[in-house]
Amino acid sequence: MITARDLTKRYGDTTAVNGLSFDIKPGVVTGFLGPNGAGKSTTMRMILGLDAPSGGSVTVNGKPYRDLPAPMREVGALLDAKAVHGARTAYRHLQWVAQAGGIPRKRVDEVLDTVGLTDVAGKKVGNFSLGMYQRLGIATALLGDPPTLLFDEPVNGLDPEGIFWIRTLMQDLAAEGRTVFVSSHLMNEMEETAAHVIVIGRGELIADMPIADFTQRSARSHVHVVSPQATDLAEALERAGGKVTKLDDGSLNVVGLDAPEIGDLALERRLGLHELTPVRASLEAAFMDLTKDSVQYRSHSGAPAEEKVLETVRALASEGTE
Amino acid sequence: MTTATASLPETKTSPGIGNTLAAEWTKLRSVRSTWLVVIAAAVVSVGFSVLFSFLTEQDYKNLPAGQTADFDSAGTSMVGMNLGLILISVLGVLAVSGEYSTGMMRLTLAITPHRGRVLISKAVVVGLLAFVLGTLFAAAAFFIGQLVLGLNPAIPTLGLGGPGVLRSLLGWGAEFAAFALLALSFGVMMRSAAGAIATAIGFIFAPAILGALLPTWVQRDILAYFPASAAEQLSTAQLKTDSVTYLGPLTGGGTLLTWVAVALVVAFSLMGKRDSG
Repeated sequence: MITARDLTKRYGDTTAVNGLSFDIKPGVVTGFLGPNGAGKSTTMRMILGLDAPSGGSVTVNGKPYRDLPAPMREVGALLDAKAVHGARTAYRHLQWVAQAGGIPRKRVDEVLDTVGLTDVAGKKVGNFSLGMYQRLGIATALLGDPPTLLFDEPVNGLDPEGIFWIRTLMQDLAAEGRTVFVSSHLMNEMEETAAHVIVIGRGELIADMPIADFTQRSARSHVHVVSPQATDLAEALERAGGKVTKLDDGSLNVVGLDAPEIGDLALERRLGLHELTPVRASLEAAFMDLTKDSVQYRSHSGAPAEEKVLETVRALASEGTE
Repeated sequence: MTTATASLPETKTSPGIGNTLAAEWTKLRSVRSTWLVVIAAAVVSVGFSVLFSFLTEQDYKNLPAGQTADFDSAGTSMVGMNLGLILISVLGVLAVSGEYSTGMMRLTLAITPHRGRVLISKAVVVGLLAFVLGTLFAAAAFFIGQLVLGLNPAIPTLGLGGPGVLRSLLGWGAEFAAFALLALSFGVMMRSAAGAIATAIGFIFAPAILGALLPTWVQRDILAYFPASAAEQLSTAQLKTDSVTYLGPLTGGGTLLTWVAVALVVAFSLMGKRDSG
């Protein structure tokens, strides 16, 4: 459990994090979304007691990080996988971490095995690929078998296999009842991993909700229908309470009726169906719709708020940009 | 994927200074650069000393009468130690600068949020290593040097029991330790290897370079209290009481200790105040 209250960080005149309050609960993966520079890493450093907040507080299991008696046994973190000394072997790196944290030596072998680095444990870290760095960073985080885990952009620059591995690991860790807090600057990355998301933009909280709410609140969940008698079907669907949009290729997007209802209706009317696909709104699309309200709601407080949310949404949606 | 099989004790005992010391020793010894610098320091400290002893032995009859009358046999055999100081300072800087440049300091401080404990542990590990190396190198240089000088029957040689010899050997240990710790402190203050090494070298040579150029009172009242001249009071076997920078071993040692303590305290306060970088 991580609790932030009014957490603020200023560097001179710049406010990197502004009045953040949230609770990160155990048992699920919580995504921490925000464009680059939104304040995610600063927030994570404050959780770990590395940077001192300018205002407010953040605690792990009720205590400020620096007051935890055995920090490695409470929180494991992967901040920057490449922030290790390249001249050391993976084994020696994990060895000093274990020694510093009072973790028995045999645990080093266990985590090396968990992340699949046993074979290269004696190799210098400097020759590792990015994926191997990430695995070493995760091994470091797991050394103390902590109930709380923080990962800062863990899949950045990884190949699909590595991304899949990390996603599965995070979900497994959460399923074991741990608190898993993972940041990303790309919305679609969180879609398949996180059960809950906290979104920040320019250091301020924009959204804090379950992903399901996110998608359900979207008006864009629809069913894509292709029928040789599209016009008749559209008429029937609208009579049954659906809202139908005809697309240029003659197919239909239906809102307000689910796929079984549409299928049953088509059977009843003896209308052909060539395609019947429920389309869940993407996180990104949901976010756009969701924040449309909050932008209007906030707009009385002046243009900057609206601009901030729109900017955040755009940045999160633009895949591949760093 | 299972992580539930962790072989860890149920009780979450709080790690102490012993854990941090062990971790810092592992860090220091597990990078090759540490040992490359140690080997270079050995070559320079002992090698140059022996070479200088050999040249002195060969050329002894041509030395001015003033030098042969009051020949500093111990000092001659350990002359290369002054160059070894540069390398031991590099070692002190490398013990911290690598952690700042890679960003690994964040991991160190996340595991051990007690920053004072991290700094003390680094200082103990680096200081002890430097002390052992300084004493060992000085002893090697001294004994080999005395053998070499002894080849010339005209040269008076010394044993371990000679005046000031034992103090000088341990004094070199102290001087190495002090400069390694000053350099380490500069590394923490500047977070940059180049700046810290340059500063340490400046401190090593400032008295020697500036000394002759400055008025006597500056040498006596200011330069004498610089770490390098203060350390000489410990590491020079044959101290000249009429030298302008003479302080005596006790005052010299106390001055050196003060320098190191102040540097570490400044480093600690900056480390505690600043974000982890």
